[in-house]
Amino acid sequence: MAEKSTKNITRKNAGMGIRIKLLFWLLLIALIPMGLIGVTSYSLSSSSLEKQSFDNLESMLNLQRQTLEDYFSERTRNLENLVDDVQILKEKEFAKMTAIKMQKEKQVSSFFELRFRDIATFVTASQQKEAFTALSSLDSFQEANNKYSTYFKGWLNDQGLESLIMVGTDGRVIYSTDEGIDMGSSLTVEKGTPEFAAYDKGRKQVAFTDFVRSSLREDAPAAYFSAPVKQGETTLGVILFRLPNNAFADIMQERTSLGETGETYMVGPDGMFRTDSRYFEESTLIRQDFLVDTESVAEGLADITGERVIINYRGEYVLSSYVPVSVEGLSWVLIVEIDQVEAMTPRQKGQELDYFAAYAKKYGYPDLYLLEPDGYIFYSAAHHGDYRTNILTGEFKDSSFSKTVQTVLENKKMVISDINHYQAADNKAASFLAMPFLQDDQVSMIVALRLPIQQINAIMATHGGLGGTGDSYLVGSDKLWRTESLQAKNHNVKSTSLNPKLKVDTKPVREALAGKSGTGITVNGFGDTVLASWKPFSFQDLNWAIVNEVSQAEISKPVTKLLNTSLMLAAGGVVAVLLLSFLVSGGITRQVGAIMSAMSRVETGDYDTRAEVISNDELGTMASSFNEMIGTTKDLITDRQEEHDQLQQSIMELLMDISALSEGDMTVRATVHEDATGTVADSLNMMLEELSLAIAKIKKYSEEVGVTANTLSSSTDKLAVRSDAQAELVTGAVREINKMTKAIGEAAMRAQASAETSALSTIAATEGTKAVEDTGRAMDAIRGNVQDTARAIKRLGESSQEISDFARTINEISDRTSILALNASIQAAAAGEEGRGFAVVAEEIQRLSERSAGSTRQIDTLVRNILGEISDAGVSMDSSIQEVVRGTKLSEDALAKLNDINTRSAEVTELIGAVSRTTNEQATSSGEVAKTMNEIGVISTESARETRTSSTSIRDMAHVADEMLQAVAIFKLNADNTGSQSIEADDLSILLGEDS
Amino acid sequence: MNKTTSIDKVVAVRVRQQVSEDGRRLFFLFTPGQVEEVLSDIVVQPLPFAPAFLQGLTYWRESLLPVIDLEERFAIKGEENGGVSRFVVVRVGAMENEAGGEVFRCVLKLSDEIFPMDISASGFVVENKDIGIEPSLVRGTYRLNENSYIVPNLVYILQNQSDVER
Repeated sequence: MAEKSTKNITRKNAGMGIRIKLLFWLLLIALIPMGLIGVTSYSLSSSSLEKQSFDNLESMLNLQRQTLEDYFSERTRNLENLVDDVQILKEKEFAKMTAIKMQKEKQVSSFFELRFRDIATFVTASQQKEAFTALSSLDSFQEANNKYSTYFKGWLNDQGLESLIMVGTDGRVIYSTDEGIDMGSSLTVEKGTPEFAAYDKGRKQVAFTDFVRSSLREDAPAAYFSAPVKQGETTLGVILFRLPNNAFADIMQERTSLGETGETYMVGPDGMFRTDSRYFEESTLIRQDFLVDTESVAEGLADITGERVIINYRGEYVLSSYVPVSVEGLSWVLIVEIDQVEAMTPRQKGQELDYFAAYAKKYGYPDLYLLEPDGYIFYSAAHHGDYRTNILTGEFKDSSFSKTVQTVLENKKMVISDINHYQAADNKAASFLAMPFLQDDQVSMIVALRLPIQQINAIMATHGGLGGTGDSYLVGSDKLWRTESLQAKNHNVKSTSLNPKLKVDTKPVREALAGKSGTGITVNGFGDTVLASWKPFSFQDLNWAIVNEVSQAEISKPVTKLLNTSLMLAAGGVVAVLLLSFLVSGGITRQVGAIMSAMSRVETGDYDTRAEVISNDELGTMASSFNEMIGTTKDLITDRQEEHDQLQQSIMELLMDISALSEGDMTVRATVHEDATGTVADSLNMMLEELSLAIAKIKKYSEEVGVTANTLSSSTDKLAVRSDAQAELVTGAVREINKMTKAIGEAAMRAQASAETSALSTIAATEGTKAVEDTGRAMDAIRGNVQDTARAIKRLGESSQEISDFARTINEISDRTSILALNASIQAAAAGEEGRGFAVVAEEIQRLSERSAGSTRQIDTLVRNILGEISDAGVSMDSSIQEVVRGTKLSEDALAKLNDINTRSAEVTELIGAVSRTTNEQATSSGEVAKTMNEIGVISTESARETRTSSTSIRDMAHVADEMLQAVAIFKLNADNTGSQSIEADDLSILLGEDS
Repeated sequence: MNKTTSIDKVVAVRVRQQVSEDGRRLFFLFTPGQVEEVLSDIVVQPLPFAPAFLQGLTYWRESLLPVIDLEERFAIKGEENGGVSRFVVVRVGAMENEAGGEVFRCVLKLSDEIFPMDISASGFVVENKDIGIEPSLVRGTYRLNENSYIVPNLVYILQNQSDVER
């Protein structure tokens, strides 16, 4: 009972186990893929979003960088164009001024030409001479004055001259229309006056005397034309014609195309005005305090025509065009000037703004500057506080603009300044682009632009695709913002640009300022974790970092949402799986429980029980099958029980039938029934039959074996005796063969030794041959060397002979020279005194020829000695060669003999070798024979031993045969089973084939 | 030769025979005006049946001149010992011939020891017999220091060739 309840508990536990397992596995199957999908999706989505964000950031960054570069490049081009415009304006202005100056110079020159001509005509007219004569006399003075004064005044007026003064040859004034010069006064009293200078010049020809302050006129400036009045060759006097101080006013004051500030004036060699300046109400003529010490005057006085930008007498930068005035006696410079400001800032009619202001407005520049080389801002489009100040020395000398201008002046190149606060612009952020205008490699002007910062901000504000937390900004090398952050409001910051409290010392900024690009997740200047992309930006002197970033939280938002959704879905799935698994597992476990209950009843032997069929699935089918199985099993058990009883009965009968068999009675037989034992009985009967036959045969053969064994035993005894005799004979033969083998071995060793000796002699002969061959080669080499030496000596002899020939030639020349000297001295002697010099020459030639002859004699002697020695050497060489040849022949003979010995030795060696080999073979064969004979002996001995053993075995076999007969005698057999035969002794002999 | 105290220029040619009979070295003496040219070698065309001292004829400056071995003529020829000979073209002087008096030249074969030298008149005349030379062949002999100097009579030598024993 307890056992039964235990089984019931076990069954219950089994049903619950399947449910849990099913539940577990279903959950697992459902959740694992879901989890994997969720994690994978989250991971991929996250990285994909990040990647996309980085791509966006980088694309935006590249776009912004390119836009910035384009922006600055465009600004640079603008500035270059402006500088070109400045140049064009300047050239245009200079061209205009050149035209004006040339025209005015012509006018001045014409003025003087006309005056010179007219004055010359005037003084040569007879009327003037009459007037001069008449005015010179006191008596006729009054009449002449009445007569001529009106005429003179009219003429002077026509000529544009101020007055005339007639001066006599004594320097006294005869007549004057000039109120400042009294008649009768002497001009020669003060010789430093312009009057005297004019009088002095005028005595020779028509002349002009430059403006000088005249003491006769209360230090007023005066300039004169003067001309002599001549009567024939006699000079009656000089007439002075005073030039009005404003003689050139009409020309100079003509200001067409000179704008508001343009003027024209002339300067003399003393640097003083020769005309009045329009900028001063008082006259500037010949005024020491109005010196014009400029490059234009200096060059003009040096007779150079040109134009340049200078600081003029007013201290203004002007465009100055100058030309020397080409008039005889004059050294003036005509100058046309216009203020640079006016020249460089043209304004079209009807336009409110000048050219540069309009340009700045059009391109959105907050300001446009034109600066003098000394830093003076002479033009500003916006007219802020820096206008008309010196940026290098003035109020704003510490500004970035000032530094930019300084750099431009130093490097003479375009410079761009970083964004910085600019005090002159209400401390706003400003950046400047400045470029010099060079003239003759010197800076003559600087053009500067204040860059529109808002455009840079606008470029950086373009951040499409970066989301609501995206930001693009520039950071300078001081780690300060250069643009406004798009997230400033989110962080309660009013402005980020150049805000010293907001230094951006982050990894992107550091790397970008170091020239590196990159992307990554980092912490920005506000402390937020962001996805950032950064690049360096360099343009000329600018070194910025461009950073694009977006909050990591914003990027992660969709992914987080996806994750949450996935989690919710996963939870729902778990619940559904749980419910489902409960439903499914419940149905399964109930059916299984019913089947198990039926099984337990069957175990107790209740074959009438059946399992309840609950479900219609496989489990229900299994329950039905189980029930069928129980019914079938019960029927089988009943049938088998009946068969078992019947079999038991038949076995008992069989055992009783064969009980006599154990006593050796082979004649008993079992009763054969129809049941299972019938077959066993039948088989038993057959086995008994066969066994009886076998035992009968054994009896018969045992008898035969006994007879045969006895016969064999006596034969083998005889065989053993003969085998012993054979073994002894074989042993004797082996002994003899061993002796023979030993002798052959010794012979082989001797033959081997002979072969070795012969081989050694062959080697010695070979080495000897080789040595002789070497000797022969050496001899040949020696012969060759000796022959070469002989040839060399022969060549030496030939060369010596040639030397001797040359010496002979020299000797002949010397001889002829001697004869020539002799002839010369003879002729000199014949010439007497006249030939003395020639005799000296002849004597010198004679000495030279004697020296030459002496030297050639020495050479000849040496050569002969050398030839003698060469000859001896040659003889010696020949002798050596003969010896060498003989030695070579001997060595060749020796070689031949050695070769012969070598051949013979080889043959002997071969023969001895063959003998040795043959002997060795014989020794080997003898050894083999001895070994074989030994084996034969051993075999013979063993044969004898075996024969004896066989004999013993056969005797034993006979004994065994007797015992077998005795053993089978106890079996009782039928009468026809006892057959036996006897074997004839003769048959056995034939079988054995015994030798007699 | 002037017998004065003045210095005369002469051309002395040493005779290859070492010494004269009185043991002095012999020299032929010529004036510089006599010697026209000294030659080292010439082509001599032998004359058949000519005396031994007449070597033959030679061609010199478009003239055909006799070549005379003076030492042979004076019979004072020594062993040459391999010495070099010189051929001296000398002016003989005016000679009487069919065409009248004109300058003749001949070539004298002499030794190569030819010395222009200055000679003073301090040397004194020596009789011809002292140096063993036929008197008619010389115009004078002189002694100076250790040497004897012979002035040959070239006119006589040239004109009296047939007188010589062959």
